[in-house]
Amino acid sequence: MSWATATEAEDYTGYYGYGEYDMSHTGDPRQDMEYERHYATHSYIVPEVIKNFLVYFQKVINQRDLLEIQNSYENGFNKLTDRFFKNTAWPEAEVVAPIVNNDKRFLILYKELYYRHVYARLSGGPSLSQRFDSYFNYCDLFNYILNADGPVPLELPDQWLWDIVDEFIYQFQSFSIFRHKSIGKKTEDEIELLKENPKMWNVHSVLNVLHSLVDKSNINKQLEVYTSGGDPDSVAGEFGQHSLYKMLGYFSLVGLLRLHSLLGDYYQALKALENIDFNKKSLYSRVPACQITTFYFVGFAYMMMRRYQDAIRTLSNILLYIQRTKTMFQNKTQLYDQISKTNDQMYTLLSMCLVLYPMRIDESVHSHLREKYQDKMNKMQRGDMAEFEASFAFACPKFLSPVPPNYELDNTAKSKEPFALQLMVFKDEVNQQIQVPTIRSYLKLYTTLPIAKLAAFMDMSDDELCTQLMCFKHKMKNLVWTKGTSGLDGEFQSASEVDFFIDKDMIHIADTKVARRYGDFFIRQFHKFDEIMRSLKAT
Amino acid sequence: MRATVASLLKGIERYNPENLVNLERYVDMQANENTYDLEANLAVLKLYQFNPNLYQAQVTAVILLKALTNLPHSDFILCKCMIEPSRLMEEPVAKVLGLAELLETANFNEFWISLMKDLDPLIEGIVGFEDSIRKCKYLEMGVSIGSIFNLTPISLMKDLDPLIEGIVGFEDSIRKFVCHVVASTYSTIRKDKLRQLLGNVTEAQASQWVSKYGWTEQLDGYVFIANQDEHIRTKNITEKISFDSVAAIMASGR
Repeated sequence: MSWATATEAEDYTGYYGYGEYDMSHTGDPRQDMEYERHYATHSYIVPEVIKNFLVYFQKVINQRDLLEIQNSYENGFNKLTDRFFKNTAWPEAEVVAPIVNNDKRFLILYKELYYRHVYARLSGGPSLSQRFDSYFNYCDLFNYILNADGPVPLELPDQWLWDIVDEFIYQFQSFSIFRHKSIGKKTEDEIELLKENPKMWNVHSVLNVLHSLVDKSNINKQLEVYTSGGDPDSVAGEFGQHSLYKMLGYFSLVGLLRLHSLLGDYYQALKALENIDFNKKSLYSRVPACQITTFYFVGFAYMMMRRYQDAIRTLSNILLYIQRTKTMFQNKTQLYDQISKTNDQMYTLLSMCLVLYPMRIDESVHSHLREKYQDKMNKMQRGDMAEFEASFAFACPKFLSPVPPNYELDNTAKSKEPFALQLMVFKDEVNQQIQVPTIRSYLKLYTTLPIAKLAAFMDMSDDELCTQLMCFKHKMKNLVWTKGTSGLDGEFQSASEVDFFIDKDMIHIADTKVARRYGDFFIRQFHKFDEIMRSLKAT
Repeated sequence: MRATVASLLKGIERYNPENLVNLERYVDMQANENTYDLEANLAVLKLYQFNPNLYQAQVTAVILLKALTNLPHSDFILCKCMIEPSRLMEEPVAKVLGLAELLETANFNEFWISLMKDLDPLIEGIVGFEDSIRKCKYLEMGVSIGSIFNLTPISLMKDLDPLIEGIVGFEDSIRKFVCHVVASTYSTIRKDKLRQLLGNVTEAQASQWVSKYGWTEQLDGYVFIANQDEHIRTKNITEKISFDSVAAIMASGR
């Protein structure tokens, strides 16, 4: 590898801000880990089948044989994991190094998988030094890709590239939560290490990586040109033409969406995607996990911004997509579990949005909702705040604090603050419109209704009722996306089921009457029948 | 200035605390010149979030008040989501949160009353004086305290809390929001009610708002807003089956 011999990975220090890190310090995590590693893995003998796999994996990566890389990545690695390393770590990179001729680049990629497996499968999760080491490894990987004079000779399958960005943010998230966990659970050495390394998994470094990947690939320009029907390559530049950079750039936009959402910055979250056209089947939407993550966070951001109509549209689109493609993931256990969880979270979000903003949605999504969430929806409709709270807690992302805690104190309360804040904002919003469902239920019964009569029903004065009616209108008139790629744009619309206006002392009500639908049902039965017939014939 | 600021918000520059001074000055400028830039203001809040030691309550309060001027947009929520919970309980931010609550629930009368309560202590004395004069006058007439506040003439509103006073056009922005809500709720509204919702403006001022929005004053004391039944009407959704959806079935049934 020309790259590996030309420069040592250590030479890149400084680019992501970990250069200021004092190497001479006694608590040096790298040295500590070096020691632990030798101690623990000295006598480990790598099974032949693992050796063969690693050599082959290295070979296909160096040959840039995308199909075989994908096969080794998606099948080989996971099968061997299940066979040999179900609950234990893969061999340390030092042990692997001689097997792959000290191929530094391969070792970085290997470690990416190694730590990801540690995070996912090892009971007790990663140790502090493993967290640090994984961070360094990501720095090495991104430095290799970003600091080269020309595009690096590396190709990886889209799925892997997505997993890299996804895991990078996940580990950041995991670290942020970890450092806030109560001090009682940490050893003094760990606290010392954390204090001495404030730059480790720092939010700025993470943002820097994502922005650098976005800039390097010119992905925003590429998307702009792509949306207007042009050739993205014409603006991609030297790096952006390569799939590796282009896709890392694209996934980093989704990464920014996620990161900003975790910090409660929904505006920046949606802004990161302003050049992506959701309503068009995209070149870039080939990775289902990325697709689902994108829609989940967009839907959530819209809900928080009181853009219920947009949230409902976004969520039902992706839920329909999952419903149709579910069978594709069934043999990939880990992905399937993850998708199922997000699927349930999104149904919960959808149920909350529909309670606040009843409107018609796709029939099959609606019937699943009725089946599984009707009870909860009924409770929320009656203004049960505890149910709103429980649903929110289940469906929301894991919010983070971007700043390190004071390690001298017990941070248990502090660690819950980011979640508590978002919950409070949401609850405040719900409380402001808590009367709306009750008013709506009365309005539904009439075509005209005197203000005084409804005021009596609601046990309020006429003036109070008028205030409530104005509140109803304000809350039900949402900004709705209509055109363009930016999800932030929109115009004020009201598509709620029940609408009204006041003329002098009279409320005039416009309801939405939906005739029963039979066609959909029959069409689906036809298809089912057809499928059964076909499978019968096949056997 | 807007263009210079935009360059400070590009990419990773956005998180550079060294830009904070300029961005804070820009917040002041928005208050003085009645302009608005949500994105820049959120960048300030983001820098506070990343660097809690740089947090400034006054600037935050101005940002929140500016967000209120952009109602019915949900900018206020966007800002609120980025401020530490403990900061939200401190003054003057907590006070602004209270105002927001009133506006978000369309409690416009209460909102104007609440604004009056936040008077600068010096002037408060004078207002109290004036109010007590009114109290005597109105109590005789059997009018409740609430409506006394409602009758406070517009000239006194200028003497609000210095913070709000510093935001040029604050009250008129709120009145625009009031008009937005009124326009979507009413087909006709009593003029005195409208005046009240707008913060007890004078007859003449109310008429200005009416003509600004192209509404018309009727002889019966009502203001005609619009014929709402043109777009608020009962919808009947009947099932439509597209040819495409049955084409496949027909083909397979051959």
